[in-house]
Amino acid sequence: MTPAVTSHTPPFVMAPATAPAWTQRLGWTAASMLVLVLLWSLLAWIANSRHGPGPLTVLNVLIHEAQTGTLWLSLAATLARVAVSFTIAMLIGSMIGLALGRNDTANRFFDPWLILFLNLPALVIIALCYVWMGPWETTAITAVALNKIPSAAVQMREGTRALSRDLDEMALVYKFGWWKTLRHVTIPQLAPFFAASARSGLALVWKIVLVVEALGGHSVGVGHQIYTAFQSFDVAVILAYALAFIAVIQVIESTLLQPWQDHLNRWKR
Amino acid sequence: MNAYDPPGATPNTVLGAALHIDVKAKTFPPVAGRPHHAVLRGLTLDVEPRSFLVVTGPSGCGKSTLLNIIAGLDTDYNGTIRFAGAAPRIAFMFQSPRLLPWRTVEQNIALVLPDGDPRQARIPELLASVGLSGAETAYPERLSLGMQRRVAIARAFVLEPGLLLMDEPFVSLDDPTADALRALVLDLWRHAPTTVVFVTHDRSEAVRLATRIVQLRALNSNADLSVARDTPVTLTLAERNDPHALAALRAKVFDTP
Repeated sequence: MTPAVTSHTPPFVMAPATAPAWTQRLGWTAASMLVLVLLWSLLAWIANSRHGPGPLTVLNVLIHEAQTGTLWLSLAATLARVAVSFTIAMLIGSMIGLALGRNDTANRFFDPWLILFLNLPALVIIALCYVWMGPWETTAITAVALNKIPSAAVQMREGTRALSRDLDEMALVYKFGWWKTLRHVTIPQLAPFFAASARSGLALVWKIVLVVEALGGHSVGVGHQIYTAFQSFDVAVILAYALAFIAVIQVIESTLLQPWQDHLNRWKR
Repeated sequence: MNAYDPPGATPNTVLGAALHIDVKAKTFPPVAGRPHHAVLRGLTLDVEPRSFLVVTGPSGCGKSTLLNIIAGLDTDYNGTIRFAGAAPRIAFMFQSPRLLPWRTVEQNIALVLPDGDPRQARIPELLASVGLSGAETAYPERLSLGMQRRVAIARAFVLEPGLLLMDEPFVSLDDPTADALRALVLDLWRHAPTTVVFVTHDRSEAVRLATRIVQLRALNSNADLSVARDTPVTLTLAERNDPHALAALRAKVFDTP
């Protein structure tokens, strides 16, 4: 047995992903956005109303808000709330999900609770939190986290239930030990569920943060700016802040979450 | 001496483990209307070191259950599994390859060894000998089933096991592929003879590989014992490549009362 390891081209290695696919996607996105902006301009021009500002008006507001610094302050405050409540919700939700996925009795008992909380309207949770806890920062964080925890728990529960018994047995026979099993067998199976939960969670959490900021009377934040603008029916400001925050979330999504999920799925056919 | 055709084979690893199997009874609890039922009873076997024990029998006679019991995966039975001396390293080739799809071929093999183990250095050689050089960094799902089985073979042998358990490891492959893998396993086994317990219901495969064939029966009455027949096989390597010798033995082992 000589190790004849060299030079023939292995037939079973995939060709690298092609660059054009990536540029093509970008092209489509650009074209699609352009059409949307044109359509928006057209509608604004037809409507010709202060309540239906065109893209240029909104852009001017955006630039003005950026120059005064209010935009950055608001984005930072809101993003911080999103980050903290998202992390807490994912942590607690995942732990509940793991526990329920592993323990049938607990799952049978707590499943109705989970369904109750899943269907509790965000507004009710927010209102009750402020009534019971008062107008503090922790209240905002708690209210947002409580909205995401049930769905994070459900997704991780499904992941835990889907764990492969076959692979567990393999790890047992080959004496992997708990750490190797966790790292190479369990976590890789749960990671896609966690990533999916994180992506949908981010989308949900930032929207709820805005509502909380508006209802909770917080003095800094995108939600506060939008609420103030709403009281004077200043649609341009509302749209400017909304678009700014969508942009921030999209950057997080496409530079962090999406690549991470792709990385997790790299082994799939 | 059990490894057949011994003169050519120089054992370069520890000898296979001697194994004493004594499964007094194994029953499955009632499931979905099916009553409590016994799968194994009174199964006592002494397996000599470096023997290639092939276990055959009809579906449901407890072949796979026996492997799981020996491997320690199934502890809910009445009886004992004993090894002469220390418990051996056990490798298991399952019916499906059971590779970690998110780890590369190389990682899948390396993972059964402790970190920094000197046997890690043998992985390239082993990959070459199972015909997988060049696929080190491929993910299992991009390989054919035959290739995945080769990875599972390499994973089992890199451990230098004292006991190798195989549960129909060549099932659902086309004949040439299965034959190539049988030859491969034999070659590896002759270079590193270890004790093998091999489950199959392919009778040709059984006579070709075995140094001993144990046929199990499905338990129908409370008096039935699991072992229906226990036959030593003394073919030389040359005879194992001779279809006539194999057919004759196959008829003798399986078709005579």
